[in-house]
Amino acid sequence: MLDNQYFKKYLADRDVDLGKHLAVEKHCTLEIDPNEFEAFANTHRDEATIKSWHPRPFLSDMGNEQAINANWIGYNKHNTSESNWGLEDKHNQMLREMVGRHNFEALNLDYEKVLVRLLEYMPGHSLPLHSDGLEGFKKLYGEAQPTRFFVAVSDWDWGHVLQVHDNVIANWSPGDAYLIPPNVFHASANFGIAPKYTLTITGTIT
Amino acid sequence: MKLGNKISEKRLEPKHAVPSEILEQYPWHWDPMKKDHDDASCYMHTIKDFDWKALGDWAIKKCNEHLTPQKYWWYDDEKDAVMHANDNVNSMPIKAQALLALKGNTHNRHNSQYFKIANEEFGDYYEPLKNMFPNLKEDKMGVSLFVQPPGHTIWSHTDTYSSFIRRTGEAKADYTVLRRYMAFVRDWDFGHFFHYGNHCFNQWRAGDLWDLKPGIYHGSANAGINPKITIHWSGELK
Repeated sequence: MLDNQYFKKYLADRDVDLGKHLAVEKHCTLEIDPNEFEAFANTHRDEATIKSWHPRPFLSDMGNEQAINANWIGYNKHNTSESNWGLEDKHNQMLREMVGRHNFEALNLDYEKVLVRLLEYMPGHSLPLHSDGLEGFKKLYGEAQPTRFFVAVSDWDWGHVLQVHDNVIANWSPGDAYLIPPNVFHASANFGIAPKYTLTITGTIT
Repeated sequence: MKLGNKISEKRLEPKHAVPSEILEQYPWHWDPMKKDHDDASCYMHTIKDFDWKALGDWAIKKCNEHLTPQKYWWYDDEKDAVMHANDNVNSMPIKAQALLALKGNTHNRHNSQYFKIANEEFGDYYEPLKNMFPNLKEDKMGVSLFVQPPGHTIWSHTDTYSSFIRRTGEAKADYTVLRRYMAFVRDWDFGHFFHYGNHCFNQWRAGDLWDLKPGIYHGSANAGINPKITIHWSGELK
């Protein structure tokens, strides 16, 4: 049924082992206004980047291999669609201002060198297991080792979840920020009935 | 991909879609932000004297015989009907909850699929599985196993026992005597999610048994690479 041999090999080749615990603690809680971000999504809906899980020419080899492996086991536009804002420079600047300088200080990130993306996942859609290629940030700033944070935007709602290695993260409050360690596999899903809004903030540690 | 409908500007309140008798008989907090809840208290124990690996392997082989998930949810716009695979469930108590997920929302036939093995289809497993719950009436119980492939979800809902009602031919469910139990058939894996009320499961073990008390909102998803397998006993208490 499920020909997941390629994805399994991909994980095994990288020594990904759920049996080894990885501690992932909340980094901090940013002071943000969820309504401001949800309003941003609705105001700029026509300018959203809408993507689903599939190989793309601008992704790294690693990113494309993960996408091919995911497609092979059933991930497609019907279950992985995401609307996001931030890849366009004007959106990145606007979102960065909405997050605010004091919050980047809380994350120890260089305010001048960040990529902020607002992600909207509708019910029934998931972000399959993957590790981050960070291509968007690297393209912008040429940095090889950026740091990635997950930030909850809205109050937690039923069916909204994130998994980072062997940690299931849920029940969050707006602004809760978690560091996603480099090369660590993670996934998220929305199986509730309300949209899920989160931020990814990528930057360099000051 | 453009959405077919506008996103609701107001938060959808699932409580209002749950049959009133369930809300009355099984009051629950209905607050996703509530921290001091006891939703995890429904864990019963781990069933260890059963070969869960063999059952899981057998179930996957059985799915592989036809490769077609039997169950999925969709909304038929033309007929204004909530559909569970080929079954019109407009007359079932799950309808209002299904409409929240399917009509004007984004759960659909492409992201809600699962394989289902039920009752006599278990073959030699049927009797031992049935016998695990002597507190359920033998002629008023059902056993079903779900194999959820990667990329699929079961939208959050409270159980209304619609499949059980169809099977037993009851005109109306008596929620005061109905009960559902669930066990995980395989250990937790990457991307396997299950929320039971405000409790989000993590690192479950094969055989972990949960008393899915009526009236508590729950759902599941698989964003990983291996199938997620659960088994459920539903029936009338003796």
